[in-house]
Amino acid sequence: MSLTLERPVVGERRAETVSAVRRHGAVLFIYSLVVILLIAASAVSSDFRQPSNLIDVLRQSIVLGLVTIGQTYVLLAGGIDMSVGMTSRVVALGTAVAMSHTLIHPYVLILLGLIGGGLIGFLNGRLITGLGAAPFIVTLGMMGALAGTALAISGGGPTDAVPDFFLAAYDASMGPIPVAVLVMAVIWLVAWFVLSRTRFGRNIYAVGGSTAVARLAAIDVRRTQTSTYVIAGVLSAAAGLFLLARSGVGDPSLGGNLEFQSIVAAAIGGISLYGGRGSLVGSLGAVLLVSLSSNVMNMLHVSAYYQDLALGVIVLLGVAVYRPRRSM
Amino acid sequence: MTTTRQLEITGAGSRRTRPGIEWLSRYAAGTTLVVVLCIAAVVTPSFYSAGNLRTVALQAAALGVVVLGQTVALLVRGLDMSVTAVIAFSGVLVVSAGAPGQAFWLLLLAAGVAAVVGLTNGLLITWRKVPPFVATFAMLIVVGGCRLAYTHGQTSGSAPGWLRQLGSGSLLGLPMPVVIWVVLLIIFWLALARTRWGRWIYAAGANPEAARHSGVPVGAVVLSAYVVCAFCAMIAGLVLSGYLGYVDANLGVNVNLNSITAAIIGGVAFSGGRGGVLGATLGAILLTVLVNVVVVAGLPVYWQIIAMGVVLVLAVAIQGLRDRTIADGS
Amino acid sequence: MGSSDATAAAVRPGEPLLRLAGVSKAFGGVQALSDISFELAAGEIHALAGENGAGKSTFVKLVAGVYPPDAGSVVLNGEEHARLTPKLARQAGIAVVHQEFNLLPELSVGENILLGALPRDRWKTVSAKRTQRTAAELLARLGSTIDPRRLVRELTVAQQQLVEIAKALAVDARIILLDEPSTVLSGDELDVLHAVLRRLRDDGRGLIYISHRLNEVFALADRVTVFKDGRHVSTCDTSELDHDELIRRMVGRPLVELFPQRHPSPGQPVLEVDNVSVPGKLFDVSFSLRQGEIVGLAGLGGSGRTTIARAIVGLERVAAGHISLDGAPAPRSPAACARAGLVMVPEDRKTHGILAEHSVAFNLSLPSLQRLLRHRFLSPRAEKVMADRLIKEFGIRPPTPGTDIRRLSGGNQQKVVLARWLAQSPKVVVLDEPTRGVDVGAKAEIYALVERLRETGVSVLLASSELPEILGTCDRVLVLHEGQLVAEMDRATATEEAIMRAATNSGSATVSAGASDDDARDSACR
Repeated sequence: MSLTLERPVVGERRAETVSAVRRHGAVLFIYSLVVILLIAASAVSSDFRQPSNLIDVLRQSIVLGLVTIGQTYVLLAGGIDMSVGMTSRVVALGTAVAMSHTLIHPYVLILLGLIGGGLIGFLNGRLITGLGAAPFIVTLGMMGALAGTALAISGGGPTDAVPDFFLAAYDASMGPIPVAVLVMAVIWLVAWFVLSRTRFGRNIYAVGGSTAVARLAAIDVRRTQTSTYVIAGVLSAAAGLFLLARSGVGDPSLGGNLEFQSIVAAAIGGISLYGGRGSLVGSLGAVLLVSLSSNVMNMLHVSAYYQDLALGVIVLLGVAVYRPRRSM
Repeated sequence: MTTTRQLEITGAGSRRTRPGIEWLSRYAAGTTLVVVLCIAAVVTPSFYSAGNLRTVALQAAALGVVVLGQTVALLVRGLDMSVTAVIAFSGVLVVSAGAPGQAFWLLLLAAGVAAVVGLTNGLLITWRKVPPFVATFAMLIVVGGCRLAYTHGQTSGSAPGWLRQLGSGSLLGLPMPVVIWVVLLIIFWLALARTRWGRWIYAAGANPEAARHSGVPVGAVVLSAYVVCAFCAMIAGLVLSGYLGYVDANLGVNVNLNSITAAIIGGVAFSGGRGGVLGATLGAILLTVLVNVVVVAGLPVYWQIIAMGVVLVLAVAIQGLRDRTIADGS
Repeated sequence: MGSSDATAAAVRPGEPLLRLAGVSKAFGGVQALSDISFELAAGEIHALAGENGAGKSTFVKLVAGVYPPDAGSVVLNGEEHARLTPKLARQAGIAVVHQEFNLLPELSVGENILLGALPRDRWKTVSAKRTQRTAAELLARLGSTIDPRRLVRELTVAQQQLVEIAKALAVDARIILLDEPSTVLSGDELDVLHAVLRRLRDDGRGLIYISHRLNEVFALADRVTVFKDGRHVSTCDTSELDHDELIRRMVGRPLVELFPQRHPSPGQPVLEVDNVSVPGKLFDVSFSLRQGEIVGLAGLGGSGRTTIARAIVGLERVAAGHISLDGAPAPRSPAACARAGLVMVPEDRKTHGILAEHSVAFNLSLPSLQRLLRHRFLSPRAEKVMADRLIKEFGIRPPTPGTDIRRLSGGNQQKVVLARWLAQSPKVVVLDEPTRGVDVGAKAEIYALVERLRETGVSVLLASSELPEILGTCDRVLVLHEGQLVAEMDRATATEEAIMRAATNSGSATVSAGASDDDARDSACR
């Protein structure tokens, strides 16, 4: 008996190509924008096509990149994290103050900072899964509480300067490429690998797709969701520490708006705000696009006054062509 | 997918929601407000000085007007992140072009901006099916960008007389902003409780599918909610800029999240269709009073924000528990 | 999943895989199952037949451990379970393939099949290759060559069905319950499904198969058990029965005094449906509804009953044909239809009918707000007067307009939904499954309401899966089969057997309208 359900499709390969394009439409769209922008800007501006400038683009993408990875994890599992920006602020300020006022070794403090970020995420996760409350509101409350804490730590002004070695770490480079950029590349790779090649990663997609189906498949839904908030917390803390190293002092306004930028970057990159759909490849594209467009605008001497408007129009257009897919 | 055909039998006596939770979710904001006011009377009597009360009233009025609009957006299962930008931009428009005799045209211009923002938000959400957060956030960036492009980051001029009158004048002994706020509150309360539109807002938020089946034009209703919200933000922008006499980049900067927080504390459900402007208004007053008490008591400023965060998490916890008991009960 | 291997090995020959003895289950006052006995042997396909409401779904949930039985015992693999939980059932090798799939559209076929236990390499990484290979093997055992790398949302419904069955294989289920797996399939797809199920049977598994298609039961099942009103009627080999006998066992019972006296006096045609098609769901359907007439729409699940109802009030995009009300084209939106006097009461009360967290009065007045306006404002007094009147008129209990509707019983909720529309004094009412999930007492009240409507000159189109309901209330019956109108019968000639025959398209029914080429397809199917 040769029974098969596959309908005989003429030109099956073509159909497969079409389906691949549709499947990855958002990702292809974002990367073609990146490429177009790269080519156009290189043609117009000689400053832009300097290797050092291109490396700068990558370095400027690190902070948003870290936070967006965490946000992507949370969104894929069906949540949202509004507290990422304030997490990075609290951790950065706390670490800066501790570095200048205690004798604990800076490396230990950095580690403590990352753990602190993880704890904030854990608290978010437990509150959300335990109360069954809307993630947006819980993390919004967390955001408020953290903003207050940050203000308490800094007293409203910049903190003392951080140790020199910390600044040196920011500037360190291997050949022409900054170490920070290399580390970031590794983080992207690991994050992508975990999401696409581990059970935990696949469980995230399952939970975001349908908690009911995930439960039927014996997946621990609460633990999976909580873990994504912990990851977002740790990565936000890392972003805060990186910002600290960049500026050398604990800036009390650091990390503002990161929550919005990361959510919008993920959304543009094709991550569904309803969970379960999208990939980190898209998020990376969106982060590069944001970092690239602000660099291009600087290179083209677009007045800072118009940059926000330009960025806003891009986001608006991206959102307007957004096609929701709530099939099945 | 096809419809479920499970045999579903609803027993006549579904379990009751725990009355305590129900009560809390309805009166939490009011109760907390009374408690805070009592504490203030003991700890910082100067809170009740005439001057301070006037300040509180003015601050509450500006936030309160936005909360009215935000509540309507929340009721239809949405939220509006663009109110901050609308406040600032409409303020800038009326302040910077302030030649005398142009009041009417300036108002029209600000109203036009509000209408465009509200319509764009609403169309993105109802027609393009963009999640409300993303749609209104995109508008936040665009309108904020418009303001920056228009002002080049400069603090904008001096407010014309009629605008100052709007912000710091008084009527029958009450500050003008408070009068505006109370009038709007009455209008909103009447509109939500006593008009067909109000019923439609609740129905579209509580169960859009059932509302559609009941002949409610759900798309148009949701669209109207965002337009209404944008107009509230515009009015708040006018009042605030008239009160301050100038407009800078900080105008309305925290109002986005504060207005959502106030509404949620006041018992408006984030999941839509439940709550009202009276509760939300209490939430707005509570937030303002909390912030003010901290200042008057001489506590460090960060206590404000911590207190707000804690109150919000508590409000959410109460709502979460309530939803859960309802889910168990039916 | 190692435990299932162990239990499977422990089955002694001759011992049934599953045995239920004297099992009863009641919900509130409604006895869903009473004193049911049932056996499933290894290597058999055991069909479960019965009308809607016979208790089949409750039976499935009971076996899957979702509901604990009130009385009686469930014996699995020779082991008695007093309290079967979903987890225990799974461990004992029971899998349920629901009519509504539990699949994640954004994940690949392979991941869906092996979800929760994806194969891993040494480094704890999910092995895409082994996922693919294992899934492909499982699918191959079902005779399918679906590429495990494809996303589920790219598959046809029939392919998704196979993936769902493969999930059962992945946990090595010995007992597979299939709850109407065929409603979404047709023709060749059915043949494939049957081949797959026979394979599983020959593998030594036990299959419980629920289907409304009687042809299928005869083509596929070894034994058939008939349930009726929550009771066990008979179990016998399929070969001992023929169509007519099976139908007789399923429906043959005296009609309870559930239905009111009918006084038909049809007038002029009010609603005319003319050659209407909805892509993929409805093909060239025509009929008319006269004033003061109650017409029933019968058909199996997925036959297009609900689609017609939705199309009439503009909730489905009609590709061809037209619908007219009083000779003029009917409006194309629910709101406009309501204004024109054409209303629909939807099937799914929870999602489409009620606003659970609002009061009875709020729910009642929603479509009639216009009439409660006094100087442009809603008058609470007028609303209360209207609510009180409707509550009294429709016997809604408790009679308090301020109560949240979620606190009412299903029957009373349904009365609110009906009353909401009838307060509008409509011309045409479309009812979709008006008595689903409603107890017998409320049913009788709803039937009386429908009859009263007709007496005031309203026309009613009643779509229902319960045949006694259609026969008891309707003047005329339209039967649908796979989106086509296959039969029209009037009250005098319609019987449950005749309707069932037409709806399952088995043999000759009193086909008087819209005869189709379905017979040809049906014989090809056999």
